[in-house]
Amino acid sequence: MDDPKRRPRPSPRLAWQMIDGEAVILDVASARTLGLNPAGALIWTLLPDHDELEIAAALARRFAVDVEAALGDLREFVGDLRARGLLEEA
Amino acid sequence: VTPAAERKEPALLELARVRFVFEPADRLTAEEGRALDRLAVGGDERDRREESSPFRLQIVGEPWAPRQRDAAPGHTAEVEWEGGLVHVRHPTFLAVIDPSERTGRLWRGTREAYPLEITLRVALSSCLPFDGGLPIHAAGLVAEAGGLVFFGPSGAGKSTLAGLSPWPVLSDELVAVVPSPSSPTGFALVKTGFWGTLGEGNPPAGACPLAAIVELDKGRPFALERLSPTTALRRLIPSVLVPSGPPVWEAALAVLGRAVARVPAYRMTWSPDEPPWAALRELQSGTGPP
Repeated sequence: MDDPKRRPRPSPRLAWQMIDGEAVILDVASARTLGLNPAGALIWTLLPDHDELEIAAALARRFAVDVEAALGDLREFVGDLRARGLLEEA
Repeated sequence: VTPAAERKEPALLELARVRFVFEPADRLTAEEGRALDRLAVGGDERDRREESSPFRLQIVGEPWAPRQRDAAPGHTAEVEWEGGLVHVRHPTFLAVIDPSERTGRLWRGTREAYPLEITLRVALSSCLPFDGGLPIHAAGLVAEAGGLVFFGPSGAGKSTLAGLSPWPVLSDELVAVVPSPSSPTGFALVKTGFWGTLGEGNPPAGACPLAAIVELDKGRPFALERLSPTTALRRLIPSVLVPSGPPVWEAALAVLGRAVARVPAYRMTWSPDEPPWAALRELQSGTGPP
């Protein structure tokens, strides 16, 4: 999310389910799963429709951290998702 | 089901509450008719939701040209998701299944029944999630307090456990979890008609309330531990036998999420030397692990 307005979206080969505030993401081709904690799950649900500043603000509100820290965590997390091939650019 | 050659009406079959219609029925071979008789499930009128459309399987008249002349029936069929359709490919048959339209077409190059049986199994697995149900690679037992699902990888002991069971067995290979408003957990367990190494049994007809889901692990000493809903969901995914299409999995995961939120799930370490039945009875009576 180098460009704050870019909105990566989940790869179409994925399916996911929210459960108890967490998310389980399934790569349907490989049947591999990835569990996301509540912060990751919030990011995951907001990614398709919100830019990174909006998501960072939501994280800061939900987890009582400052926006700067939330933005850093968000970028690190999105980079990890990209490295796993779970995101593609909209 | 009567072999179609003897009937005027289309052949009908119900598997785990999914109804199948074969068109035209007179193209079914005698072998296929006998296979449908084996798979036929007694109806269960309780909790019947507004019935969804039947799955219509067209039996294509022109024979399928085998890709290899001497292909053995035991050759594994490949199930692939392509363009919103499920393709089942085998040297001696091809099936194309459309889960959203609940239709399919089957070309076969043999009069034997296995192409039809495999196609039905894949079609059932493709449709169940859209009906609020799940096909699970598991042993299903009907205990006093309700249905128990035992899942796990090969070697975990599904067939062994089913073979030792003091309770009626629904299957040692494939069972279906279906929605059931009258069940305390909101789900019921039904047979699919498909069996594994245990061979065919004589399971009770109808559905029973689903009481618990148990992950199997062979070992000692015996242990039974409760799984969190999130852990149960992740552990169950490899045992949910739906084709690898994102829409099918999206529906399946939604059902799975509802199921693990309401049905208690456990991990059971067990060995045939230490029968687990007493512990499982305690589990059902509410005196087992919380």
